[in-house]
Amino acid sequence: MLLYCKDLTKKFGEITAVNRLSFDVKAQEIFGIAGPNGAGKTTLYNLITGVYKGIGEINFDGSEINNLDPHRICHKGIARTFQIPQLATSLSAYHNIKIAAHFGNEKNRVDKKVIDDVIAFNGLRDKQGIVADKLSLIDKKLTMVAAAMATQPKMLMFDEPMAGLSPLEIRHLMDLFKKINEERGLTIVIIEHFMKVLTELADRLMILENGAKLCIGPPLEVTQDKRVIESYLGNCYAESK
Amino acid sequence: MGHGGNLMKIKKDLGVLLAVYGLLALLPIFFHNNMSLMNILIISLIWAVVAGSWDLIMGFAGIFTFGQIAFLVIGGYSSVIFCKLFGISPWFGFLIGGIVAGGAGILVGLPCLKLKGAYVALVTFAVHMILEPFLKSDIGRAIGTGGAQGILTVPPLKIGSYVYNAMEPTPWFYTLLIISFIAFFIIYKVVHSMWGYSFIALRDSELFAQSVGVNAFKYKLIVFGISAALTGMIGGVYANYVGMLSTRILGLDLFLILMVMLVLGGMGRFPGALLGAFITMFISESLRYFDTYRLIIFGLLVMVLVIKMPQGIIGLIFPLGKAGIIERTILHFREKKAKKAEMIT
Ligand SMILES: Nc1ncnc2c1ncn2[C@@H]1O[C@H](COP(=O)(O)OP(=O)(O)O)[C@@H](O)[C@H]1O
Ligand SMILES: [Mg+2]
Repeated sequence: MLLYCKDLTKKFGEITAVNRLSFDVKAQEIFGIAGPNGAGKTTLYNLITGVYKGIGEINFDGSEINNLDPHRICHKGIARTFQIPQLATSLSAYHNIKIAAHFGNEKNRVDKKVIDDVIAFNGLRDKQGIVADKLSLIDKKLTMVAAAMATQPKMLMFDEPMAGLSPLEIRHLMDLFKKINEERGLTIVIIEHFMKVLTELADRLMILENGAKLCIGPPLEVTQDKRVIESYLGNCYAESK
Repeated sequence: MGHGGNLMKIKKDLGVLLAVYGLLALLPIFFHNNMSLMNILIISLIWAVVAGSWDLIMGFAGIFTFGQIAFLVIGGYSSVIFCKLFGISPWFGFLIGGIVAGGAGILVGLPCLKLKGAYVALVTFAVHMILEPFLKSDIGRAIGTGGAQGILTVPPLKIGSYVYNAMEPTPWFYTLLIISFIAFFIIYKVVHSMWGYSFIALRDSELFAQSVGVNAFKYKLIVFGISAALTGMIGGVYANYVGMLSTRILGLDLFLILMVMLVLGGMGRFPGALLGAFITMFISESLRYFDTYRLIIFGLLVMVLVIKMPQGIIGLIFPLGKAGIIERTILHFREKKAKKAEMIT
Protein backbone atom coordinates (compact mmCIF):
# COMPACT_ATOMS: atom_id res chain seq x y z
CA MET A 1 0.00 0.00 0.00
CA LEU A 2 1.54 3.30 -1.07
CA LEU A 3 -1.09 5.80 0.07
CA TYR A 4 -3.47 5.23 2.92
CA CYS A 5 -6.14 7.67 4.10
CA LYS A 6 -8.32 7.17 7.13
CA ASP A 7 -11.35 9.21 8.19
CA LEU A 8 -10.29 12.27 6.22
CA THR A 9 -12.58 15.22 6.87
CA LYS A 10 -12.49 18.79 5.63
CA LYS A 11 -15.11 21.40 6.37
CA PHE A 12 -15.54 24.84 4.86
CA GLY A 13 -17.88 26.54 7.29
CA GLU A 14 -21.19 24.72 6.86
CA ILE A 15 -20.02 22.63 3.92
CA THR A 16 -18.37 19.28 4.58
CA ALA A 17 -16.31 18.96 1.41
CA VAL A 18 -14.65 15.68 2.43
CA ASN A 19 -16.54 13.51 4.91
CA ARG A 20 -14.83 10.70 6.89
CA LEU A 21 -13.22 9.31 3.78
CA SER A 22 -11.05 6.19 4.00
CA PHE A 23 -9.30 4.47 1.09
CA ASP A 24 -5.92 3.31 -0.07
CA VAL A 25 -3.87 3.36 -3.25
CA LYS A 26 -1.57 0.45 -4.06
CA ALA A 27 1.91 0.90 -5.44
CA GLN A 28 2.06 0.96 -9.27
CA GLU A 29 -1.68 1.00 -9.79
CA ILE A 30 -3.74 3.57 -11.64
CA PHE A 31 -6.41 4.72 -9.23
CA GLY A 32 -9.36 6.60 -10.68
CA ILE A 33 -11.63 9.01 -8.84
CA ALA A 34 -14.96 10.24 -10.18
CA GLY A 35 -18.05 11.91 -8.87
CA PRO A 36 -20.35 14.85 -9.53
CA ASN A 37 -19.14 18.46 -9.44
CA GLY A 38 -18.60 19.60 -5.90
CA ALA A 39 -18.19 16.01 -4.62
CA GLY A 40 -14.92 16.98 -2.96
CA LYS A 41 -12.44 15.46 -5.40
CA THR A 42 -10.17 18.49 -5.70
CA THR A 43 -10.44 19.11 -1.96
CA LEU A 44 -9.23 15.55 -1.39
CA TYR A 45 -6.16 16.30 -3.55
CA ASN A 46 -5.56 19.51 -1.64
CA LEU A 47 -5.68 17.57 1.64
CA ILE A 48 -3.24 14.92 0.44
CA THR A 49 -0.81 17.48 -1.03
CA GLY A 50 -0.89 19.73 2.03
CA VAL A 51 -2.63 22.72 0.46
CA TYR A 52 -5.38 22.33 3.08
CA LYS A 53 -5.10 20.96 6.58
CA GLY A 54 -7.93 18.69 7.62
CA ILE A 55 -8.80 16.03 10.17
CA GLY A 56 -7.85 12.39 9.78
CA GLU A 57 -4.82 10.36 8.88
CA ILE A 58 -2.79 10.38 5.68
CA ASN A 59 0.02 7.89 5.33
CA PHE A 60 2.32 7.80 2.33
CA ASP A 61 5.08 5.30 1.67
CA GLY A 62 5.24 4.29 5.31
CA SER A 63 5.18 7.71 6.96
CA GLU A 64 2.50 10.09 8.16
CA ILE A 65 2.24 13.14 5.99
CA ASN A 66 -0.67 15.02 7.53
CA ASN A 67 0.26 18.52 8.57
CA LEU A 68 3.30 18.67 6.30
CA ASP A 69 3.64 21.73 4.08
CA PRO A 70 3.09 21.20 0.33
CA HIS A 71 6.79 21.40 -0.55
CA ARG A 72 7.61 18.74 2.05
CA ILE A 73 4.97 16.45 0.61
CA CYS A 74 6.51 16.99 -2.81
CA HIS A 75 9.86 15.90 -1.36
CA LYS A 76 8.17 12.78 0.03
CA GLY A 77 7.33 11.78 -3.52
CA ILE A 78 3.87 13.08 -4.37
CA ALA A 79 3.51 15.33 -7.41
CA ARG A 80 0.33 16.68 -8.91
CA THR A 81 -1.24 18.71 -11.68
CA PHE A 82 -4.12 21.15 -11.35
CA GLN A 83 -7.62 21.26 -12.80
CA ILE A 84 -7.08 24.88 -13.83
CA PRO A 85 -3.51 24.98 -15.20
CA GLN A 86 -1.02 26.35 -12.67
CA LEU A 87 2.46 27.27 -13.90
CA ALA A 88 5.06 29.99 -13.54
CA THR A 89 3.27 31.76 -16.40
CA SER A 90 5.96 34.32 -17.18
CA LEU A 91 8.77 31.76 -17.44
CA SER A 92 9.46 29.37 -20.28
CA ALA A 93 8.28 25.76 -20.20
CA TYR A 94 11.93 24.81 -19.78
CA HIS A 95 12.31 26.97 -16.68
CA ASN A 96 9.10 25.66 -15.17
CA ILE A 97 10.52 22.16 -15.49
CA LYS A 98 13.93 23.27 -14.22
CA ILE A 99 12.35 24.80 -11.11
CA ALA A 100 10.62 21.49 -10.43
CA ALA A 101 13.82 19.51 -10.98
CA HIS A 102 15.75 21.84 -8.68
CA PHE A 103 13.32 22.35 -5.81
CA GLY A 104 11.63 18.96 -6.12
CA ASN A 105 14.35 17.24 -4.11
CA GLU A 106 15.45 18.17 -0.62
CA LYS A 107 19.04 18.84 -1.62
CA ASN A 108 17.95 21.28 -4.35
CA ARG A 109 20.19 19.62 -6.86
CA VAL A 110 19.35 19.91 -10.56
CA ASP A 111 20.02 16.84 -12.63
CA LYS A 112 20.18 18.01 -16.22
CA LYS A 113 19.48 14.49 -17.43
CA VAL A 114 16.16 14.48 -15.59
CA ILE A 115 15.15 17.75 -17.25
CA ASP A 116 16.07 16.55 -20.73
CA ASP A 117 14.36 13.23 -20.09
CA VAL A 118 10.99 14.63 -18.99
CA ILE A 119 11.03 17.18 -21.81
CA ALA A 120 11.62 14.44 -24.38
CA PHE A 121 9.17 12.07 -22.69
CA ASN A 122 6.38 14.65 -22.82
CA GLY A 123 7.22 15.76 -26.37
CA LEU A 124 8.07 19.31 -25.37
CA ARG A 125 11.40 19.66 -27.18
CA ASP A 126 10.09 22.21 -29.68
CA LYS A 127 8.05 24.09 -27.10
CA GLN A 128 10.48 24.36 -24.19
CA GLY A 129 11.54 27.92 -25.04
CA ILE A 130 7.98 29.27 -25.10
CA VAL A 131 6.71 31.32 -22.16
CA ALA A 132 4.18 29.17 -20.29
CA ASP A 133 1.45 31.78 -20.64
CA LYS A 134 1.65 31.52 -24.43
CA LEU A 135 1.45 27.71 -24.59
CA SER A 136 -1.67 25.98 -25.91
CA LEU A 137 -3.88 24.22 -23.35
CA ILE A 138 -2.52 20.77 -24.12
CA ASP A 139 1.07 22.04 -23.91
CA LYS A 140 0.33 23.72 -20.59
CA LYS A 141 -0.97 20.40 -19.32
CA LEU A 142 2.05 18.55 -20.70
CA THR A 143 4.35 21.10 -19.04
CA MET A 144 2.57 20.51 -15.72
CA VAL A 145 3.02 16.75 -16.18
CA ALA A 146 6.67 17.23 -17.12
CA ALA A 147 7.28 19.47 -14.10
CA ALA A 148 5.55 16.98 -11.82
CA MET A 149 7.71 14.18 -13.24
CA ALA A 150 10.85 16.32 -12.85
CA THR A 151 10.40 16.22 -9.08
CA GLN A 152 11.05 12.47 -9.41
CA PRO A 153 7.93 11.39 -7.54
CA LYS A 154 6.65 7.97 -6.59
CA MET A 155 3.04 8.96 -7.19
CA LEU A 156 1.44 11.37 -9.66
CA MET A 157 -1.98 12.92 -9.06
CA PHE A 158 -3.86 14.37 -12.04
CA ASP A 159 -6.92 16.56 -11.49
CA GLU A 160 -9.31 16.36 -14.46
CA PRO A 161 -6.46 16.34 -16.99
CA MET A 162 -8.73 15.82 -20.01
CA ALA A 163 -10.98 18.85 -19.42
CA GLY A 164 -11.10 21.11 -22.47
CA LEU A 165 -9.10 18.81 -24.75
CA SER A 166 -10.00 17.42 -28.18
CA PRO A 167 -10.57 13.64 -28.60
CA LEU A 168 -7.17 13.33 -30.27
CA GLU A 169 -5.43 15.12 -27.42
CA ILE A 170 -7.29 12.99 -24.89
CA ARG A 171 -6.09 9.86 -26.68
CA HIS A 172 -2.53 11.22 -26.59
CA LEU A 173 -2.66 11.94 -22.85
CA MET A 174 -4.17 8.55 -22.09
CA ASP A 175 -1.33 6.81 -23.90
CA LEU A 176 1.16 9.04 -22.11
CA PHE A 177 -0.30 8.19 -18.70
CA LYS A 178 -0.16 4.48 -19.53
CA LYS A 179 3.46 4.90 -20.50
CA ILE A 180 4.25 6.74 -17.27
CA ASN A 181 2.65 3.93 -15.32
CA GLU A 182 4.13 1.02 -17.27
CA GLU A 183 7.56 2.27 -18.30
CA ARG A 184 8.34 4.46 -15.30
CA GLY A 185 6.55 2.35 -12.74
CA LEU A 186 4.84 5.39 -11.24
CA THR A 187 1.62 5.14 -9.31
CA ILE A 188 -1.11 7.36 -10.75
CA VAL A 189 -4.20 8.82 -9.15
CA ILE A 190 -6.53 10.44 -11.65
CA ILE A 191 -9.72 12.44 -11.21
CA GLU A 192 -11.72 12.37 -14.40
CA HIS A 193 -15.20 13.12 -15.66
CA PHE A 194 -14.93 11.05 -18.84
CA MET A 195 -15.88 7.53 -17.74
CA LYS A 196 -14.30 6.02 -20.85
CA VAL A 197 -10.92 7.34 -19.79
CA LEU A 198 -11.28 5.77 -16.37
CA THR A 199 -12.64 2.41 -17.53
CA GLU A 200 -9.73 2.08 -19.92
CA LEU A 201 -6.96 3.36 -17.63
CA ALA A 202 -7.89 2.64 -14.03
CA ASP A 203 -7.18 -0.55 -12.15
CA ARG A 204 -9.58 0.58 -9.48
CA LEU A 205 -12.15 3.32 -9.33
CA MET A 206 -13.62 5.28 -6.44
CA ILE A 207 -16.84 7.25 -6.76
CA LEU A 208 -17.29 10.19 -4.41
CA GLU A 209 -20.52 11.89 -3.52
CA ASN A 210 -20.95 14.74 -1.05
CA GLY A 211 -17.42 14.18 0.18
CA ALA A 212 -17.97 10.52 1.01
CA LYS A 213 -17.11 7.26 -0.70
CA LEU A 214 -20.05 5.87 -2.63
CA CYS A 215 -18.33 2.85 -4.09
CA ILE A 216 -14.86 1.49 -4.80
CA GLY A 217 -13.57 -1.38 -6.95
CA PRO A 218 -12.62 -2.44 -10.47
CA PRO A 219 -14.12 0.03 -13.01
CA LEU A 220 -16.37 -2.56 -14.64
CA GLU A 221 -17.93 -3.45 -11.30
CA VAL A 222 -18.28 0.12 -10.17
CA THR A 223 -19.97 1.25 -13.36
CA GLN A 224 -22.54 -1.54 -12.91
CA ASP A 225 -23.27 -0.52 -9.32
CA LYS A 226 -26.88 0.53 -8.84
CA ARG A 227 -26.11 3.42 -6.49
CA VAL A 228 -23.48 4.76 -8.86
CA ILE A 229 -25.79 4.61 -11.88
CA GLU A 230 -28.56 6.29 -9.93
CA SER A 231 -26.62 9.09 -8.36
CA TYR A 232 -23.80 9.78 -10.80
CA LEU A 233 -23.60 7.83 -14.03
CA GLY A 234 -27.26 8.22 -14.82
CA ASN A 235 -27.15 11.96 -15.29
CA CYS A 236 -23.55 11.84 -16.51
CA TYR A 237 -24.44 9.49 -19.35
CA ALA A 238 -27.52 11.55 -20.06
CA GLU A 239 -25.30 14.65 -20.28
CA SER A 240 -22.98 13.07 -22.81
CA LYS A 241 -25.87 11.94 -25.01
CA MET B 1 13.82 26.80 -30.62
CA GLY B 2 15.70 25.59 -27.56
CA HIS B 3 15.78 27.51 -24.33
CA GLY B 4 18.30 29.84 -25.96
CA GLY B 5 15.71 32.59 -25.64
CA ASN B 6 16.35 32.75 -21.93
CA LEU B 7 20.09 32.83 -22.34
CA MET B 8 19.72 35.76 -24.73
CA LYS B 9 17.49 37.53 -22.26
CA ILE B 10 20.09 37.12 -19.51
CA LYS B 11 22.76 38.60 -21.74
CA LYS B 12 20.41 41.38 -22.77
CA ASP B 13 19.73 42.30 -19.12
CA LEU B 14 23.43 42.44 -18.33
CA GLY B 15 24.09 44.29 -21.58
CA VAL B 16 21.56 47.01 -20.76
CA LEU B 17 23.00 47.34 -17.26
CA LEU B 18 26.57 47.67 -18.53
CA ALA B 19 25.55 50.10 -21.26
CA VAL B 20 23.73 52.38 -18.80
CA TYR B 21 26.66 52.34 -16.39
CA GLY B 22 29.13 52.94 -19.21
CA LEU B 23 27.19 56.05 -20.25
CA LEU B 24 26.86 57.25 -16.66
CA ALA B 25 30.60 56.91 -16.10
CA LEU B 26 31.21 59.43 -18.90
CA LEU B 27 28.91 62.14 -17.53
CA PRO B 28 31.34 63.82 -15.08
CA ILE B 29 33.71 64.51 -17.96
CA PHE B 30 31.18 67.04 -19.23
CA PHE B 31 29.36 68.08 -16.08
CA HIS B 32 31.81 67.86 -13.19
CA ASN B 33 31.53 71.63 -12.67
CA ASN B 34 27.74 71.61 -12.61
CA MET B 35 27.16 71.08 -8.89
CA SER B 36 23.39 70.82 -9.00
CA LEU B 37 23.38 68.38 -11.89
CA MET B 38 26.01 66.22 -10.23
CA ASN B 39 23.92 66.24 -7.08
CA ILE B 40 20.86 65.07 -9.00
CA LEU B 41 22.88 62.26 -10.60
CA ILE B 42 24.22 61.11 -7.24
CA ILE B 43 20.79 61.17 -5.61
CA SER B 44 19.36 59.34 -8.65
CA LEU B 45 21.87 56.55 -8.12
CA ILE B 46 20.88 56.29 -4.46
CA TRP B 47 17.14 56.16 -5.23
CA ALA B 48 17.84 53.74 -8.07
CA VAL B 49 19.14 51.20 -5.56
CA VAL B 50 16.05 51.66 -3.38
CA ALA B 51 13.76 51.33 -6.39
CA GLY B 52 15.73 48.33 -7.68
CA SER B 53 15.55 46.44 -4.41
CA TRP B 54 11.89 47.37 -4.02
CA ASP B 55 11.34 45.97 -7.50
CA LEU B 56 13.03 42.73 -6.48
CA ILE B 57 10.37 42.06 -3.87
CA MET B 58 7.38 43.80 -5.45
CA GLY B 59 8.03 43.28 -9.18
CA PHE B 60 9.78 39.93 -9.23
CA ALA B 61 8.41 38.25 -6.10
CA GLY B 62 5.01 39.95 -6.41
CA ILE B 63 4.87 40.79 -2.69
CA PHE B 64 3.25 44.18 -2.26
CA THR B 65 5.38 45.74 0.44
CA PHE B 66 5.17 49.41 1.22
CA GLY B 67 7.96 49.31 3.77
CA GLN B 68 10.94 50.04 1.56
CA ILE B 69 11.57 53.54 2.91
CA ALA B 70 11.32 52.19 6.43
CA PHE B 71 14.23 49.85 5.62
CA LEU B 72 16.13 52.76 4.09
CA VAL B 73 15.68 54.75 7.30
CA ILE B 74 16.49 51.77 9.54
CA GLY B 75 19.68 51.17 7.54
CA GLY B 76 20.62 54.83 7.59
CA TYR B 77 20.13 55.32 11.33
CA SER B 78 21.83 52.08 12.36
CA SER B 79 24.78 52.78 10.08
CA VAL B 80 25.37 56.25 11.53
CA ILE B 81 24.64 55.24 15.12
CA PHE B 82 27.09 52.32 14.93
CA CYS B 83 29.78 54.52 13.43
CA LYS B 84 29.37 57.09 16.19
CA LEU B 85 29.08 54.56 18.98
CA PHE B 86 32.03 52.36 18.06
CA GLY B 87 34.09 54.76 15.98
CA ILE B 88 34.09 52.38 13.02
CA SER B 89 34.63 53.54 9.44
CA PRO B 90 31.48 54.55 7.56
CA TRP B 91 32.38 51.93 4.94
CA PHE B 92 31.67 49.31 7.61
CA GLY B 93 28.70 51.38 8.67
CA PHE B 94 27.12 50.77 5.26
CA LEU B 95 27.47 47.04 5.79
CA ILE B 96 26.01 47.31 9.29
CA GLY B 97 23.09 49.31 7.87
CA GLY B 98 22.51 46.52 5.37
CA ILE B 99 22.68 43.79 7.98
CA VAL B 100 20.36 45.53 10.45
CA ALA B 101 17.84 46.43 7.73
CA GLY B 102 18.05 42.89 6.33
CA GLY B 103 17.23 41.52 9.76
CA ALA B 104 14.38 44.00 10.10
CA GLY B 105 13.17 42.90 6.66
CA ILE B 106 13.00 39.28 7.75
CA LEU B 107 11.18 40.24 10.96
CA VAL B 108 8.63 42.31 9.04
CA GLY B 109 8.35 39.50 6.48
CA LEU B 110 7.36 36.92 9.08
CA PRO B 111 3.85 38.19 9.82
CA CYS B 112 3.34 38.86 6.09
CA LEU B 113 3.91 35.28 4.92
CA LYS B 114 0.38 34.07 5.47
CA LEU B 115 -1.23 37.29 4.30
CA LYS B 116 -2.60 38.08 0.88
CA GLY B 117 -1.74 41.09 -1.30
CA ALA B 118 -3.40 44.14 0.17
CA TYR B 119 -2.84 43.02 3.77
CA VAL B 120 0.90 42.78 3.20
CA ALA B 121 0.80 46.36 1.95
CA LEU B 122 -1.05 47.41 5.11
CA VAL B 123 1.27 45.62 7.53
CA THR B 124 4.43 46.92 5.86
CA PHE B 125 3.07 50.44 5.62
CA ALA B 126 2.21 50.23 9.31
CA VAL B 127 5.93 49.65 9.96
CA HIS B 128 6.63 52.77 7.94
CA MET B 129 4.07 54.73 10.00
CA ILE B 130 5.37 53.47 13.34
CA LEU B 131 8.96 54.34 12.54
CA GLU B 132 8.67 58.12 12.76
CA PRO B 133 7.11 58.33 16.25
CA PHE B 134 9.53 55.62 17.39
CA LEU B 135 12.62 57.46 16.18
CA LYS B 136 11.35 60.66 17.81
CA SER B 137 10.45 58.93 21.09
CA ASP B 138 12.55 58.75 24.24
CA ILE B 139 13.58 55.22 23.40
CA GLY B 140 14.76 56.41 20.00
CA ARG B 141 16.61 59.29 21.60
CA ALA B 142 18.30 56.87 24.00
CA ILE B 143 19.56 54.79 21.07
CA GLY B 144 20.95 57.91 19.47
CA THR B 145 18.41 58.93 16.84
CA GLY B 146 18.52 62.56 17.95
CA GLY B 147 14.75 62.65 18.42
CA ALA B 148 12.72 65.10 16.35
CA GLN B 149 15.82 66.97 15.29
CA GLY B 150 17.45 63.91 13.80
CA ILE B 151 21.17 63.24 13.53
CA LEU B 152 22.91 66.45 12.53
CA THR B 153 26.51 65.27 12.26
CA VAL B 154 27.57 62.17 10.42
CA PRO B 155 31.18 60.89 10.61
CA PRO B 156 32.81 61.76 7.28
CA LEU B 157 33.65 59.14 4.70
CA LYS B 158 37.35 58.75 3.95
CA ILE B 159 39.44 56.79 1.53
CA GLY B 160 43.13 56.86 2.46
CA SER B 161 43.79 60.47 3.38
CA TYR B 162 41.02 61.80 1.13
CA VAL B 163 37.94 63.05 2.93
CA TYR B 164 34.72 63.11 0.90
CA ASN B 165 33.06 66.55 0.95
CA ALA B 166 30.11 68.39 -0.49
CA MET B 167 32.29 70.69 -2.61
CA GLU B 168 33.65 67.85 -4.71
CA PRO B 169 30.81 65.80 -6.17
CA THR B 170 32.90 63.80 -8.64
CA PRO B 171 34.43 61.35 -6.11
CA TRP B 172 30.99 60.89 -4.59
CA PHE B 173 29.57 60.21 -8.02
CA TYR B 174 32.07 57.51 -8.90
CA THR B 175 31.80 55.94 -5.45
CA LEU B 176 28.03 55.73 -5.85
CA LEU B 177 28.44 54.46 -9.37
CA ILE B 178 30.43 51.53 -7.99
CA ILE B 179 28.23 50.89 -4.94
CA SER B 180 25.00 51.06 -6.94
CA PHE B 181 26.50 48.88 -9.64
CA ILE B 182 27.35 46.25 -7.03
CA ALA B 183 23.77 46.45 -5.74
CA PHE B 184 22.30 46.09 -9.24
CA PHE B 185 24.70 43.29 -10.07
CA ILE B 186 23.55 41.44 -6.95
CA ILE B 187 19.92 41.98 -7.99
CA TYR B 188 20.77 40.79 -11.51
CA LYS B 189 22.48 37.68 -10.14
CA VAL B 190 19.59 36.93 -7.80
CA VAL B 191 16.95 37.44 -10.48
CA HIS B 192 18.69 34.99 -12.81
CA SER B 193 19.41 32.37 -10.17
CA MET B 194 17.22 29.53 -8.96
CA TRP B 195 16.24 31.83 -6.07
CA GLY B 196 15.01 34.37 -8.58
CA TYR B 197 13.04 31.72 -10.45
CA SER B 198 11.48 30.59 -7.18
CA PHE B 199 10.39 34.19 -6.47
CA ILE B 200 8.80 34.44 -9.91
CA ALA B 201 7.15 31.02 -9.57
CA LEU B 202 5.70 32.00 -6.18
CA ARG B 203 4.43 35.23 -7.73
CA ASP B 204 2.88 33.58 -10.79
CA SER B 205 1.34 30.62 -8.97
CA GLU B 206 2.08 29.80 -5.37
CA LEU B 207 0.11 26.57 -5.81
CA PHE B 208 2.40 25.42 -8.61
CA ALA B 209 5.61 26.56 -6.92
CA GLN B 210 4.81 24.74 -3.69
CA SER B 211 3.62 21.63 -5.50
CA VAL B 212 7.04 21.25 -7.14
CA GLY B 213 8.87 21.69 -3.87
CA VAL B 214 9.44 25.43 -3.44
CA ASN B 215 9.43 26.32 0.25
CA ALA B 216 7.25 29.43 0.13
CA PHE B 217 8.09 30.41 3.70
CA LYS B 218 11.86 30.28 3.16
CA TYR B 219 12.04 32.03 -0.20
CA LYS B 220 9.65 34.80 0.74
CA LEU B 221 11.78 35.53 3.80
CA ILE B 222 14.92 35.45 1.64
CA VAL B 223 13.50 38.03 -0.73
CA PHE B 224 12.38 40.21 2.19
CA GLY B 225 15.91 39.95 3.60
CA ILE B 226 17.85 40.70 0.41
CA SER B 227 15.58 43.54 -0.63
CA ALA B 228 15.72 45.22 2.79
CA ALA B 229 19.48 44.65 3.17
CA LEU B 230 20.33 46.36 -0.13
CA THR B 231 18.04 49.25 0.73
CA GLY B 232 19.47 49.54 4.26
CA MET B 233 23.01 49.57 2.92
CA ILE B 234 22.21 52.45 0.58
CA GLY B 235 20.46 54.15 3.52
CA GLY B 236 23.85 54.37 5.22
CA VAL B 237 25.38 55.81 2.06
CA TYR B 238 22.54 58.32 1.80
CA ALA B 239 23.06 59.55 5.37
CA ASN B 240 26.75 60.00 4.68
CA TYR B 241 26.23 61.83 1.43
CA VAL B 242 23.61 64.20 2.81
CA GLY B 243 25.58 64.61 6.04
CA MET B 244 22.52 64.39 8.27
CA LEU B 245 19.53 62.17 8.89
CA SER B 246 16.01 62.92 10.06
CA THR B 247 12.57 61.39 9.77
CA ARG B 248 11.73 63.79 6.95
CA ILE B 249 12.42 61.16 4.28
CA LEU B 250 9.53 59.16 5.72
CA GLY B 251 7.24 61.81 4.16
CA LEU B 252 5.00 61.06 1.22
CA ASP B 253 7.24 62.85 -1.34
CA LEU B 254 9.91 60.18 -1.53
CA PHE B 255 7.36 57.39 -1.38
CA LEU B 256 5.57 58.75 -4.42
CA ILE B 257 8.77 59.45 -6.33
CA LEU B 258 10.03 55.92 -5.75
CA MET B 259 6.72 54.54 -6.90
CA VAL B 260 6.93 56.56 -10.13
CA MET B 261 10.47 55.25 -10.64
CA LEU B 262 9.20 51.70 -10.32
CA VAL B 263 6.19 52.00 -12.59
CA LEU B 264 7.96 54.20 -15.11
CA GLY B 265 10.90 51.82 -15.30
CA GLY B 266 8.70 48.75 -15.49
CA MET B 267 7.92 46.50 -12.54
CA GLY B 268 9.69 43.18 -12.62
CA ARG B 269 11.66 44.24 -15.69
CA PHE B 270 15.39 44.40 -14.97
CA PRO B 271 16.94 47.00 -14.90
CA GLY B 272 13.84 49.14 -15.32
CA ALA B 273 14.17 50.64 -11.85
CA LEU B 274 17.56 52.09 -12.78
CA LEU B 275 16.23 53.85 -15.89
CA GLY B 276 13.06 54.83 -14.05
CA ALA B 277 15.10 56.46 -11.28
CA PHE B 278 16.99 58.78 -13.62
CA ILE B 279 14.01 59.73 -15.74
CA THR B 280 11.85 60.35 -12.69
CA MET B 281 14.51 62.47 -10.98
CA PHE B 282 14.80 64.65 -14.05
CA ILE B 283 11.04 65.02 -14.37
CA SER B 284 10.88 65.83 -10.67
CA GLU B 285 13.58 68.47 -10.96
CA SER B 286 11.93 70.10 -13.94
CA LEU B 287 8.65 70.19 -12.02
CA ARG B 288 10.28 71.99 -9.08
CA TYR B 289 8.83 75.22 -10.48
CA PHE B 290 5.30 73.91 -9.85
CA ASP B 291 6.06 73.46 -6.16
CA THR B 292 3.04 71.96 -4.39
CA TYR B 293 1.46 70.84 -7.65
CA ARG B 294 4.46 68.58 -8.17
CA LEU B 295 2.98 65.84 -5.99
CA ILE B 296 -0.37 66.09 -7.73
CA ILE B 297 1.32 65.73 -11.10
CA PHE B 298 3.28 62.76 -9.79
CA GLY B 299 0.19 61.11 -8.41
CA LEU B 300 -1.57 61.49 -11.74
CA LEU B 301 1.52 60.19 -13.51
CA VAL B 302 1.43 56.99 -11.45
CA MET B 303 -2.21 56.43 -12.39
CA VAL B 304 -1.68 57.04 -16.10
CA LEU B 305 1.45 54.88 -16.19
CA VAL B 306 -0.14 51.93 -14.41
CA ILE B 307 -3.04 51.98 -16.85
CA LYS B 308 -1.29 52.87 -20.10
CA MET B 309 2.23 51.52 -19.69
CA PRO B 310 2.22 48.62 -17.22
CA GLN B 311 5.56 47.35 -18.49
CA GLY B 312 7.24 50.75 -18.18
CA ILE B 313 10.16 52.09 -20.21
CA ILE B 314 11.87 48.72 -20.36
CA GLY B 315 8.62 47.28 -21.68
CA LEU B 316 8.63 49.89 -24.42
CA ILE B 317 12.19 49.02 -25.45
CA PHE B 318 11.96 45.27 -24.89
CA PRO B 319 8.29 44.28 -24.71
CA LEU B 320 7.52 40.72 -23.65
CA GLY B 321 6.75 38.52 -26.61
CA LYS B 322 6.93 41.07 -29.46
CA ALA B 323 9.43 43.32 -31.20
CA GLY B 324 10.30 46.47 -29.29
CA ILE B 325 11.47 49.89 -30.45
CA ILE B 326 15.07 48.76 -30.99
CA GLU B 327 14.15 45.61 -32.87
CA ARG B 328 11.55 47.50 -34.93
CA THR B 329 14.10 50.19 -35.81
CA ILE B 330 16.63 47.60 -36.91
CA LEU B 331 13.96 45.86 -38.97
CA HIS B 332 12.91 49.17 -40.51
CA PHE B 333 16.45 49.96 -41.65
CA ARG B 334 16.98 46.44 -42.93
CA GLU B 335 13.82 46.71 -45.02
CA LYS B 336 14.92 50.10 -46.35
CA LYS B 337 18.29 48.69 -47.27
CA ALA B 338 16.67 45.71 -48.95
CA LYS B 339 14.41 48.04 -50.96
CA LYS B 340 17.38 50.11 -52.03
CA ALA B 341 19.21 46.99 -53.10
CA GLU B 342 16.14 45.99 -55.08
CA MET B 343 15.98 49.36 -56.85
CA ILE B 344 19.62 49.17 -57.85
CA THR B 345 19.34 45.74 -59.37
N1 LIG C 1 -11.47 27.00 -0.57
C1 LIG C 1 -12.77 26.69 -0.42
N2 LIG C 1 -13.56 27.44 0.37
C2 LIG C 1 -14.87 27.14 0.55
N3 LIG C 1 -15.48 26.10 -0.03
C3 LIG C 1 -14.74 25.31 -0.84
C4 LIG C 1 -13.35 25.56 -1.07
N4 LIG C 1 -12.89 24.60 -1.91
C5 LIG C 1 -13.93 23.80 -2.18
N5 LIG C 1 -15.05 24.21 -1.54
C6 LIG C 1 -16.36 23.56 -1.58
O1 LIG C 1 -16.17 22.21 -1.29
C7 LIG C 1 -16.98 21.40 -2.12
C8 LIG C 1 -16.11 20.44 -2.91
O2 LIG C 1 -15.39 21.16 -3.89
P1 LIG C 1 -14.33 20.49 -4.83
O3 LIG C 1 -13.42 19.67 -4.00
O4 LIG C 1 -13.70 21.54 -5.65
O5 LIG C 1 -15.24 19.56 -5.73
P2 LIG C 1 -14.90 18.75 -7.05
O6 LIG C 1 -13.44 18.90 -7.34
O7 LIG C 1 -15.30 17.34 -6.74
O8 LIG C 1 -15.75 19.32 -8.13
C9 LIG C 1 -17.78 22.34 -2.99
O9 LIG C 1 -19.04 22.53 -2.39
C10 LIG C 1 -16.98 23.62 -2.95
O10 LIG C 1 -17.83 24.72 -3.09
MG1 LIG D 1 -12.40 19.66 -8.96
